[in-house]
Amino acid sequence: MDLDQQCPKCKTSKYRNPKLKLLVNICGHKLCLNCVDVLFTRPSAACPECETPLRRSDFRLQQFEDLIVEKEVDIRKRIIKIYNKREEDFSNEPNSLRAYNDYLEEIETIVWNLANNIEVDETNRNVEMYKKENEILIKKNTVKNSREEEFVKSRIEAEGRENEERRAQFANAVKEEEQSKKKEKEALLDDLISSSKSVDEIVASHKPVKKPSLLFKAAESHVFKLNKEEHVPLVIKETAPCYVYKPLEVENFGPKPPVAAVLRSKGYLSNIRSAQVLERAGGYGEEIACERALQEAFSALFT
Amino acid sequence: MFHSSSHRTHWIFSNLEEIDKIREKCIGNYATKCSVSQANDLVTINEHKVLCKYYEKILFHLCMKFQPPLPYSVTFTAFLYFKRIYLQTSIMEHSPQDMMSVCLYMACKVEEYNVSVDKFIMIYPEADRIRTADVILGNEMGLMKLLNYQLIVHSPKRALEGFFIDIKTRFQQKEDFDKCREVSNEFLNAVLFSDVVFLYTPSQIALAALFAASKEIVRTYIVSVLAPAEQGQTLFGKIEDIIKLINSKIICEDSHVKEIQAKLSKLPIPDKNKPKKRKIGNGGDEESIKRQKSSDSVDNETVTDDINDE
Repeated sequence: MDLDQQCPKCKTSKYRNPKLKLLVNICGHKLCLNCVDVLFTRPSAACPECETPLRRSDFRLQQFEDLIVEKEVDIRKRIIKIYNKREEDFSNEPNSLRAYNDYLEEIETIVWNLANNIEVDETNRNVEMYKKENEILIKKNTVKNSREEEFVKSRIEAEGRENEERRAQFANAVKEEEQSKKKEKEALLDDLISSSKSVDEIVASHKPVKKPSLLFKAAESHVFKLNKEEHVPLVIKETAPCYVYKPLEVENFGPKPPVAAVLRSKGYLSNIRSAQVLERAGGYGEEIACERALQEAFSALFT
Repeated sequence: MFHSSSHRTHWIFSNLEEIDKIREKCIGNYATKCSVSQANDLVTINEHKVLCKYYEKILFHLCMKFQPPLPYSVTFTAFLYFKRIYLQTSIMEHSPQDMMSVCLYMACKVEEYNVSVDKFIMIYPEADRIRTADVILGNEMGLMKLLNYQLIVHSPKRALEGFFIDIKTRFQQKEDFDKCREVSNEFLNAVLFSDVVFLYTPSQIALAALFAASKEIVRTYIVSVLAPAEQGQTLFGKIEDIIKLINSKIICEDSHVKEIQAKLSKLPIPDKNKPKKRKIGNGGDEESIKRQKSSDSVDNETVTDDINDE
């Protein structure tokens, strides 16, 4: 967490008071919890920074460091509740995807305008108008969305429960195995005490039968279940030919320039500024510049 | 490398007529887009060329204002961007005055000559600075789109350097040959003002620049080293064509330019689908941060777009 987050009113920072809680209201300005308590002894007061009248109940915890983001998230939440058309609502238009994207773009513009104080009144009016015009659809979609949310929630819960069960099963298996081992040991001791057979025989008869451990079983049953659902046999192609490297050949439409390796021996490098020590450290050498200049000179001379 | 670049595949044409045809088409496009029916109102090809030449001169002066001086490759890239734009669109569509600055700024970026906008606008007179900065930042994306994102340009300067190295190595004459540099560099400056760059490859232009400086050495060099037989003859032909083209200058007189500009001011400007300018209310700091961000993103794009080129 940033230590220099600061309350603009009392100038306390996170560094001085680790318990500092910054709150934000609809205007997007922050204020620490103590200041809010002091300022809002009455149910409403003005924001100390922009003097927008605020209500105490509208304060909430700041989630994002950037206040513009905070404000935008707030506005977005509100707008999305109204503009909640879904992709399938556009299916009867000629270019449904385009229409849907335009609609999404429109939402972005509204959010942007509201967040940056551009034509706020007009945008708000537009939103109101849209709300009236599409009242039924909005309600329908709200219901739909909430149902979907519930479904997702129930799925998550069910998954959690399943996990829990599996864990319990596993713990049980561990316990059972330990118990059976214990029993085995006791039986061996009992036999050794009471039986008339020789020691070797008794030990041999009690040699642990190699049965698959319960632990393994539990794990296996789980793996098996998963496999059954999504196992796709792997097909291995054996006939694919091996990769053969072919050096890249580029037509340069001109005479072939000398390659970098011979530049020094042919005396090219004496006609170019030699690289300095510092440049060499970075991997540069005069061959690079020289080769490049020659390539450029000969490239496409004959086209 | 030039031979596998977008410069060679898309921006080298076979003859002057082909280039003029493209320009004609642009004027036609403009006429239909803005529904200007009277042919007399439109800017003709010739006027288009004269005006481009006029702004190229201004651009050259701008480039000369940099201290320390701009590398030739940046100047060349800026000119090529400018030329490419007005090859594909008519001068009536985008204001050349603005485009010029954007081209130069973009060229600095692409050629890795680091100049921030705030420093860049210092070359302009004080009154124009803020407006120019806005124009540059607002049009960068548009410029790249107009250029089809083909940003890597190969300047003849490096090729010239290559010839210098090769000739010096092969002929073992060092002192007097370096005198050719001055003439060659002047020749390369003249190249900026002609259509040669659309017709010939940088290596051919570089060879022509060298030829202009020292005919004998280049002649023996071509015959004995580069291409002895027929290919050598065509190469000579090309070099002569380049020199001829460079010498045939477009005359642009101030009075004529004013006439054309008056004509331009009456013509409608088509709706540019300008990206929505998003302003942040609190001004000051955020604005500059945004600037930086936008320039960063441009850098990234140039990099990804030109991987294929390199």
